[in-house]
Amino acid sequence: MNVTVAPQAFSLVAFDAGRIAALAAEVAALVGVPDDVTVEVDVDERSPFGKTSALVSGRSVRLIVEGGALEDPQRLRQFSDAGARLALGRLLYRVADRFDPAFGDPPADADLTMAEHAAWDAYCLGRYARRAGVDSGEGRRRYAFRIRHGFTDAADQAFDRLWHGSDLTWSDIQRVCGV
Amino acid sequence: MRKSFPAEDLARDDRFRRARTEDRINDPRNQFLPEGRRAGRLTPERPDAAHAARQMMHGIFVGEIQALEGAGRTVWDFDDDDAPFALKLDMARQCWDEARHTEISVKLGEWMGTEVGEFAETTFLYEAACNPDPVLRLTGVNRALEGLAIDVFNTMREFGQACGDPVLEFCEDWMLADEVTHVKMGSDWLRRLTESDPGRRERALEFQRVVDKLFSFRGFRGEGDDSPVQLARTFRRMAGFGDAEIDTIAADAETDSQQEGWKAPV
Repeated sequence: MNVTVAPQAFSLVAFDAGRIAALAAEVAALVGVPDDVTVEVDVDERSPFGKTSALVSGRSVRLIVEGGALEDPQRLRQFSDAGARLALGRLLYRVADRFDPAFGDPPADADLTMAEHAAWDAYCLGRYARRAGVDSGEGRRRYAFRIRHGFTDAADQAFDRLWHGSDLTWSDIQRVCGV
Repeated sequence: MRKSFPAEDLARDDRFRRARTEDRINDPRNQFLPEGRRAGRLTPERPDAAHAARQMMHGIFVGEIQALEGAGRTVWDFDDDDAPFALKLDMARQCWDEARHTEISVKLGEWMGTEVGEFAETTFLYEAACNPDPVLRLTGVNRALEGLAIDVFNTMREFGQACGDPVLEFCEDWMLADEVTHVKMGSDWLRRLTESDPGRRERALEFQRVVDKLFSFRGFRGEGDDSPVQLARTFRRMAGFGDAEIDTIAADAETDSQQEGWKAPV
């Protein structure tokens, strides 16, 4: 898989473009992004925030990542391998879903509602935890899900279906969101 | 046991990592934050609401530990000539509250999916509790620090209310009630200890103003929509703050938030 990272060198944060590219390639393969897809990771090192999105165009993918998403929350401006894997895992599972015809046709990331974001993230990170054999933060994802879907037993059951689910479709996620 | 314990020697286990306040203020990324890209008021409408709330909750947790340490030091650091026994007894009672708040905050963190030590800890709250003059320390801890706690707890209580989180709302409401008592205690002691020394009272209030400016941290706390922590006027009045005092904190916060390089820690 061809992965490129921009910028090539970082001056405001202690990130390494080569390491980010290697992690992106590893995670992409793990979550099932097709080999012939090219991935461009565009990191905004000026931002300490953690917004991320993925744009898919043909067989090209552009991951747009604010630097805070890859940063160690305990160490200012330092890279976190584990945090980067989670951020990339979440984004690339979405990409893999978009390349899967059986998944359906979700709107672009920019057009998703916050409830849809929370639901799809839960589905992506639940799968990533199982696939990578890591703790992908079920508790914090459940809390994020509750904020968007309510602090109710029904919302918790919906989260559990997403977190432990596989082979779900965009329609399944929309159903959780009441669409 | 030594007196006036420095912040860098505070005991923490290996889950905690310390961050220097000056590193945050001097973060070179601050200069690139465009207007309108501030963190903003903590509401469920923020796309990063869950993360921001968890981060603030962790800040509350370490803040409670430092408030416990600050009040505890006051019990030990001064003899009865410097600080009356009754004041130290009040501080000891406050320690009990802060210890309970620490436990509540740990449990709230777990409820929100946060681990102890997940975020770095700065010690600027404790640093406000290191003044060698007991009256200045009292204003630093019981009026500035605990005043900030009123603002933060009310912000979190309202956040819990807005997103329908009954656990967060309930716990913050109870802790907020304690903080109002702590500030009231500080207001009462300040008045009693400086009754015959208006100059000392003036110095104490000036020290409090300096600490309050630090806590407002370039817009971290204020009344603007872009401040994550909102000034809780009603609860501050209940705690003995006068309207003029609250206006000063609000005005200082507003002035400070206009400075370049603004970055809220949440």
